[in-house]
Amino acid sequence: MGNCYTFTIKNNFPELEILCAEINEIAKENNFSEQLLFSLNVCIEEMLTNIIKYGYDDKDPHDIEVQLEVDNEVMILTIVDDGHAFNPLDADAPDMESDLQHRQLGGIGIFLTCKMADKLSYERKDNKNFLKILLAPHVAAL
Amino acid sequence: MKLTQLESTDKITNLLLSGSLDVAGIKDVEMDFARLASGNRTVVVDFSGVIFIASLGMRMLLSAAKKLDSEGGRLILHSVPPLVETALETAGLTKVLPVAKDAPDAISLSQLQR
Repeated sequence: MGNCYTFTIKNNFPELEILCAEINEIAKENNFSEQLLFSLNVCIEEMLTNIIKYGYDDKDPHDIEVQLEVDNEVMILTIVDDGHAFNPLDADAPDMESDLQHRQLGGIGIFLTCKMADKLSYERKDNKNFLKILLAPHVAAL
Repeated sequence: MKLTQLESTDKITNLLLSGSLDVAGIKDVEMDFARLASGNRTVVVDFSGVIFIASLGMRMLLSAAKKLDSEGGRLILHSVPPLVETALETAGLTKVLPVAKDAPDAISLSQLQR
């Protein structure tokens, strides 16, 4: 049996920082490999930054639920927010070709997350976004 | 996150970054990094102690590189740990940001014609 951790943060960066610190503690307790921890941190930072920066049409505080299920280095990260509907899998591809002065980083966060994750799925229900990210660096095929 | 200025010359500023370039880490260094990584000079950053980077950290590097470039300088990273380098490559940043193997390699890169 694995462990399951649940967090609720508000849509601001100080709370995201605290969440990241807690995740790093969990990583220590569970002996995550460096690579798994790196990928997990990318997914959390990118997806939550997106939600905090662009997810809401008002300036009110909102709850974002983050759940982490850990079982033998297979991990499922679930992020639930009540912002407007946004499926990261539909995002535009980032600019990878422009020269230095013209290079923009829009879309890079989502692209990085998709590359690091083994599987991403998105669902909109009850006026909420449900994003599930599977990280399974040691499982060959799922 | 820590930013240290190492022995530098008129033309080359040597910096050492260490820690995690995450949401919290960037806040610690972004002001100083923007101030030191500017002007008509080569800024060489030892990345050996950087354990994490994602798009927020990349944004900091890219904006410094653009500013340096427009002022006649350039930004060169070296000794980048494998996971960090993979992330930079995945994001396509190594095409616009030179990454050298080590400090001497960074110096030879800085002497190449642009």
